[in-house]
Amino acid sequence: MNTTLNFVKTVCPYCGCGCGIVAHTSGGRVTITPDRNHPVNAGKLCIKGRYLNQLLEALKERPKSPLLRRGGGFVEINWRRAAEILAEELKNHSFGFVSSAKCTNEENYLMQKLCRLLGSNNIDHCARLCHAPTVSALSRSLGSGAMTNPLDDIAEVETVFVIGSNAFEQHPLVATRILRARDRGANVIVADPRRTITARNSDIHLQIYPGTNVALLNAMAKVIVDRGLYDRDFLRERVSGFEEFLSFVSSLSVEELSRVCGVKSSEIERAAELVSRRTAFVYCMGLTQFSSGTDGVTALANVALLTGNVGREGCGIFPLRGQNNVQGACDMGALPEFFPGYARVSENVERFEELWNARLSRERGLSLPEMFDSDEVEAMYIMGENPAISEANCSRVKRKLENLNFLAVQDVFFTETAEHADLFIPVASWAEKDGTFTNTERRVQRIRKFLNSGFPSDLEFLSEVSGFLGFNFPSTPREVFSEIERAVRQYRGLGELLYGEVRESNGEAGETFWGGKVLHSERFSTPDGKARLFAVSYKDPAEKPDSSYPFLLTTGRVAFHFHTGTMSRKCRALTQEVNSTFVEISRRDAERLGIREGEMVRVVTRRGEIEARAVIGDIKEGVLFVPFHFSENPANALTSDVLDPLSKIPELKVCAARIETERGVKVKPVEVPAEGE
Amino acid sequence: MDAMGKLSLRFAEWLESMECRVYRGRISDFLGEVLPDTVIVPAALHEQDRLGLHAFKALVIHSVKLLPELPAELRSEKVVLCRPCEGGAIIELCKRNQLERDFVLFGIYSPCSRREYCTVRFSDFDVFVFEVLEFGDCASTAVFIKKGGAVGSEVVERVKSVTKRAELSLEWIESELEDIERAERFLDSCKVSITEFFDRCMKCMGCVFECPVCVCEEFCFAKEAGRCDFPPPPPQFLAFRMLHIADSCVNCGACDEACCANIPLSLIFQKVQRKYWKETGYIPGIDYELSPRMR
Repeated sequence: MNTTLNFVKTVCPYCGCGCGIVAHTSGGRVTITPDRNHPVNAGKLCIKGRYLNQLLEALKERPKSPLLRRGGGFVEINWRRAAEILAEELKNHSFGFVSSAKCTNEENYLMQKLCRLLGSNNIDHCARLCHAPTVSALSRSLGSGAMTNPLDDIAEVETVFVIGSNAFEQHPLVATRILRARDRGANVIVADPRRTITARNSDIHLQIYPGTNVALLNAMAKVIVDRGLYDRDFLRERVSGFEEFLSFVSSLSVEELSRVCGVKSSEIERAAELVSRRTAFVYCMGLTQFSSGTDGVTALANVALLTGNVGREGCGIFPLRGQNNVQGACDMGALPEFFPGYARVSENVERFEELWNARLSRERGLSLPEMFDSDEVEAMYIMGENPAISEANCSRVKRKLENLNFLAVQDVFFTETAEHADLFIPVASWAEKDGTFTNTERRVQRIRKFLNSGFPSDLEFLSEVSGFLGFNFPSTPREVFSEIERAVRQYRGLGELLYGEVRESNGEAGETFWGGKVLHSERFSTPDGKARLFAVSYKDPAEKPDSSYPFLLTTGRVAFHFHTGTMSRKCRALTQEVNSTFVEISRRDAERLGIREGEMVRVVTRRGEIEARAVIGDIKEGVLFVPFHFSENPANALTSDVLDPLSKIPELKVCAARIETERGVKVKPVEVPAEGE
Repeated sequence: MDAMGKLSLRFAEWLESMECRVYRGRISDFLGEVLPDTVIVPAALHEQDRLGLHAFKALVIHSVKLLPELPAELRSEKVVLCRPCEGGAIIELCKRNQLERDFVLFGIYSPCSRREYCTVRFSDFDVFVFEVLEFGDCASTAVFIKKGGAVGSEVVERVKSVTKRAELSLEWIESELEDIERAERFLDSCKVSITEFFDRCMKCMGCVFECPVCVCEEFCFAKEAGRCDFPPPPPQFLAFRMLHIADSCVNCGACDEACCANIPLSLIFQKVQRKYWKETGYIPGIDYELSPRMR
């Protein structure tokens, strides 16, 4: 009798950290443990990863076959028929394509190729809602929107500057590195309106108002310039635009900007001094999800460039990616303005027409929020995303979904978006397929199948659909990756490492980073090889507090859940921790309004209202926080869909709001400290 | 003990039957693999199995938890090969009716990453091999023995000669206690206080999952002790957990390695444990006979 344990090495499907996990299968039982030799997590995992086995249990709840809407309900059909119906609809309507940062590189590549072969560039995915400003800002400042250094470099720095990220809850394996740096004597600075666990573990907490990042960063740039803390050699040799930037900075006043952000100018000065050392600039959605998102990232890049913290080891700019493969989905060109490998649509049509042997559109396509506004989009094909909950001002999105001529939703689970679908296609989860994910530090990693379910993968289904359209896409990840290597310069040569005989490539640091460990070490990938400073002035958020909406509302996540909860809310252990929405309010505001901890209140904005449990916390006065995981009380019923003009990201992180109590009394407005003057 | 003696002999025979080979390299730890002849042994690995190496340490700790789930026909005779701390965990689980003591504990003193602070040097092993071989202070070292060849024969000889039941006494442990001042010195040298360490907790549950003596399906103790309808938030969570395993923690350090917040949990626990040990005379994981009840 042989009961040998089998194990498969793969990657966690939750966030962009890309932790290695090992799935042990023995007699039909699956146990998932952290991979002890994985360079990202070395035997550690966050709570979501620890309970992945409960997610596997939830896979049993999936619809067993594709569902086609007939009258008021659905009828079951097989996948081949589903592919045929979808192909027919794709021929007859003008589609918007939504790809997925949860899917593999190979699947994203096929999705965007399908869209483009059908003659449009209307393809986008949730990167629009997270790091679109990173791509638009860093690609003009540095030439590339990717994280400049490997995560391990964070542990080596003298200062960690965290802005708009609660890494302890959302990227725990980044927090591990921040703590390692701090234990080695580094100073940690956190800019956040909330006193999050990340802020509690910092040396300086800059408790700014939501939407004032540009003011804070410009003030820091001003201090750095005025005190001569900038890196002269670096600026001379590798950066352009310094002269213009100097004249811009001279017009700024630290005092004035510090009033805008609501922190003391002495704190800003101290922070500026500290970041002029070897610094890691870590940021997340708290910098990007604003109508000034591109400006925010640009202002951060300015500070990093002034202090010479780019293009070297042991420092860098670290945009933390939310999804496991949002980096990869962008690399694969699931974006309306870029072909694979960030080849701008307008400039690279000929190359891709030759590669794909087809006529392509040379017009920039519609971004995700634009698709929900445009009449051009008559039908949609959504793969692995849940815009009914994740998009800003989601009631508008639901109206659009209802009015489409045809909506195909392809997902592991039957989501809130699927409720509006004409065709729902259940597919294999990450446990049931092979492929590659690219994590936040550009590390391309293999995922491996360890469960058999009989469900086709997204890739297999896309391949089947393409067959009905005469495109005949390859049906194995390996074949698709070979094509990716031809299309995406950065991925060239990785196929053999990832799919070849050497199966250990995930374990060797540096081996599968695209672009090498440190980006920009020789030259920046701009036309002249130099990075560029851009003067960006502070602009107020689209909504400011007034007498009817006296609070600023910001949104975010908690440690126990992931995004719209499609995965994490199916895990019992995680729902036991938190399973309902809440609104965090400062102690003084709560006292003024007579709100008790745990009381049910209504949060109201110009677009909608939700019920939420009041939680009294260390949040800045005049600011409210609501997590966006809970579809029964969706935070995005409240959020603003004003877009950043450059990156088209909605202003999810700030809008004006008020609180009403259950007693139905409209609570009198709170006095909010003056700002923006 | 006759049956045990017979079994350990069988294990020695098994060792000798293997082709002698010492395997050096970056290997996390011993892999407990169930073989047809009903022993849990270190798997002989080949180059092409390198993928599997990454799972190693987890498997050892998890093999402790997997023991009760072994098929019945495998449970009658088996040998568990483990480090002293893991052996300690097995002893504790036996005493707490989580495991039946139907195996031979084969202990190996293996260099491990937290050796400097390791308090568990000996456990109540049926067979114990003290310092078989050392490969420096590398935590990622494993020894695989196969028959034939000079090094292997020597190892087998040494296994035979030092095989003995570890002799333990409370007095000996008392003297060991003096030695673990090191742990406190480490904590003192940190610029972070225990409270600050606890405030780092992001509740990743790594300590709960990796703990070999905690057999809760979910962390129920915290729920009850907290008298709240959801598990307590950090940092209370850590305090509850500390109470939960106060008298069974064998201080193996698995929680330290699993902690996303780099909290030196086992060292902090040790501080509390030492008081408890001195007060009650009960030290977990060293002796089958010592009762966990207070005097």
